[in-house]
Amino acid sequence: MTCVMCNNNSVPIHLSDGTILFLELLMLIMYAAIVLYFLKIKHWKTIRNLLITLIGVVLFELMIDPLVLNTQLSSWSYYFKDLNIIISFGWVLIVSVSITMVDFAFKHLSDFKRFWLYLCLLDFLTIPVEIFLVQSGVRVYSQSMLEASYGAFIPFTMVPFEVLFAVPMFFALVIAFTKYWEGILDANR
Amino acid sequence: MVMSRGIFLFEAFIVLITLALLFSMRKNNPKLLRRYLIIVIGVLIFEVFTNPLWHNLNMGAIAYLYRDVSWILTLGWSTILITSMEMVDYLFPSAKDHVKFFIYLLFSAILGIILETIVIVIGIRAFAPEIIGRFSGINIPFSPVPIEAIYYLTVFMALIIGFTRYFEMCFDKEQHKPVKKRKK
Repeated sequence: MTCVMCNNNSVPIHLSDGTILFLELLMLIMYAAIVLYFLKIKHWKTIRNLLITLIGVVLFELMIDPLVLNTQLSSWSYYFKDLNIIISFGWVLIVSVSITMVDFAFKHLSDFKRFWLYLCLLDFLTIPVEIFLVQSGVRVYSQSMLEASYGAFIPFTMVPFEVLFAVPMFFALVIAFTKYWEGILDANR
Repeated sequence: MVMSRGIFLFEAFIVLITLALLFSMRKNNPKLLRRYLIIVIGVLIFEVFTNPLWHNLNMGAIAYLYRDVSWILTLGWSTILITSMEMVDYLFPSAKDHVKFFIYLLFSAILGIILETIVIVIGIRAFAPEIIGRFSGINIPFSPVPIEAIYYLTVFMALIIGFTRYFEMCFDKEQHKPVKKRKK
C-alpha cells in the first residue's frame, strides 16, 4: 500500500508504541475532561448534541470502513473491527468545534451560509490531523481507494489530493444529519 | 462495454418512472422539485466519494457521469427516496418529524433492497474486494443481495434523508424570515 505513495517526497513519521499510547491517553483525557465539564455545568443540550454527532460519525465510519483502515493503535481502543474510539471521538470533537465556533462567530448569517463555513473550518482542522495519521501509518487507505484516486498527492504527504474535497463532502452529510436531529429534538422540547 | 437488452430496459424504466412519479406527486407538494434536487445532490456526493466500494458495470456510455458513477442509478436512488418521503408525508401527515424519519427509512430501505436486487440480477452491480471481504456470505432471503446491504442501505438512506430535511428546513426558514424591522 505505502509503496504506491513512496514517490511523493513524503517523509513517513515513525511513532513508537510508547508515543502512540501517550497520544491515545492524552486524547482520552481531553475527551473525558470536555464531557465531564459539560456534565458538571449541566449543559445537557451540548451533551445531547455530542451524542447525536457521535451517532452520525459512527454511521459514517462504518460506511467508509472498507476504504480506510485504522491501524497501529492500542488493542483496547478498538470497539468494532478497525473502528477506534480515539479516532471516532476525534471526529466528534472536530465536527462539534467547527459547528460551535461558526455558530458563535457568525450568528448573523443564515443556516445555509453557516453550513458552508462549517465545512471550510472542518476541512481546515481535519487535513493536518489526517496528514499526520496517514504519514505515521495509523490511517491506511485501501487499494481500491488508491486506484480510484488520480495519483496526485498533497505536496510532501502521502495523502491523495481528493481527500481535500472528500472530507468536507462526506461531512456535509454527517453535519446535516446532526443539525437535522438537533433541530427536531429542539422543536419537540 | 456490453449492454444487454435487460440493462437497456432497466435504464429506460428508471428514467420513465422518475418522470411519471415526479409528475404525479407534484400536486401534493409544491416544493417537490426542490426536495428532489437536494436528494440528488446528497446521493451524488455519496456515490462519488464511496465510488471505490461498488462498481456499476455494463451500462451504456451515456449513462455514466464520472468513472462508474451513473446518473441513471442516481435517479433511481433519488426516486426511491422521494417516493418514500412523499408517501409517508401523505399517509402520516400529522406524525412528528422524528417518527416520520424512521418511517421514511423503513419505506426507502425496502424499496432500496428491491432496486439492489434488480441491479445485481441484471449484472450492473459489483463490489470491491475490500467490501466482499467483509460480507458474511449470507444473502437476504430470496435475493442475491448480501445481508450486510441492509445496514449499508439504511445508513445511506439515513444520511441522505437527514441531509434533505436539514436543507429543506434551512430554506423554509429563509423564506419565512420576517422582512427587516423598521427602526422606531
